[in-house]
Amino acid sequence: MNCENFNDRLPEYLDETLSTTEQAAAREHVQKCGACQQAVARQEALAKSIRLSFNRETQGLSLSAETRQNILNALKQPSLQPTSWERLRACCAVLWLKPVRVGLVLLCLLLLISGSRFHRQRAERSTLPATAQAASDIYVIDVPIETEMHFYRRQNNRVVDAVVTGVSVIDASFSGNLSPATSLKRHIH
Amino acid sequence: MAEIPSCSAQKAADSFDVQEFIDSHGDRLLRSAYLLCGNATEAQDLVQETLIQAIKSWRGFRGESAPYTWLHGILLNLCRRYHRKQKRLVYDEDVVLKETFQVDQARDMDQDFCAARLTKAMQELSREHREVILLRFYENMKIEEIARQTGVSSGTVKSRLHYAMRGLEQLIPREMNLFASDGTHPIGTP
Ligand SMILES: [Zn+2]
Repeated sequence: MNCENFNDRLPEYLDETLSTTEQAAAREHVQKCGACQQAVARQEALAKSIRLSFNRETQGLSLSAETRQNILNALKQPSLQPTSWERLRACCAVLWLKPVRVGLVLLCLLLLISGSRFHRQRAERSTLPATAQAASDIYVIDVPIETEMHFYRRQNNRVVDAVVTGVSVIDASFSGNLSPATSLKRHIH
Repeated sequence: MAEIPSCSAQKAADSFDVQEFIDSHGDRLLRSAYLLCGNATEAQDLVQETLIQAIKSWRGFRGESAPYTWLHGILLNLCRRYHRKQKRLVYDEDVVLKETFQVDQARDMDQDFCAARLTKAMQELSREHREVILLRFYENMKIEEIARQTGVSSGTVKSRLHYAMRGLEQLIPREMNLFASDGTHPIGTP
């Protein structure tokens, strides 16, 4: 191994993730080469100093009581209790990354969504006023790729949630009189 | 105490204590968020959203990585969005920083000041470079772990790390001697 090769592999050498042969060759080179010994020492010193600075800068930070309470409150909200849709989505997350199954899963999901929506609408239409019906429904809306992971906020009792990556699905719960699409757009953009 | 029910036999044991989950990951996540976004208040908000999102989707956690690594992935995604929104503001802040630094140059560069300057310099890096520095030096991840976490190849991670370090060298003045406190090399001096 020469200096150029060694420098290319320096991060993995420090990580000890090179193959056994390469790790041995790298060790052998650095034992004989002053310049590469210096490169290793410099990398380690840089890493140590940056770590030190980061730790020094953040050591006083801890999660505030308010933030903790906000989290607990958010989890207590009825709208945040796991719905059947969320359960399904969470279970299906296991399958998302297996390309062969994605098509199948997507198809099943679509069937289930349309099935459950139809079912829910039938069940609710007779008993609930229009706004309440909209508030309790689940909406699946296409959004641009750049919003594949959504930063959402809770404002009053309106909650917008999106967890799914890669596939543009939003699961949102609303209460209030705005039409769901309007308030949802307001949160995304 | 809120408990999260589970959806499969394999995960039957995972109905967990939310308070304990927050206790074990909250502070560490907050510090990471602060280094990523450079603002303590926003860091609280980002971690709040991260934890809410994580606890809600806990059943989707596959246990292929440590829970903290999974959490950190959610945080990275939220920060990416935050930074898209804040870009303009961050650039404005840069100008102010550079100006005040000229004035401060003569002052004694103690470790706290250097630490603060490095954190500010992080905000001046591109999002990709900031992430790689954080994951490498604060989260102590190996190159291949960073590659998994950011969804790029190991080669790309190494290249980003290289340029990110060069970026920091340019942003932090040599006379600041960031690393002299260790008796080692000032940044920018081989
Ligand atoms: Zn050499």
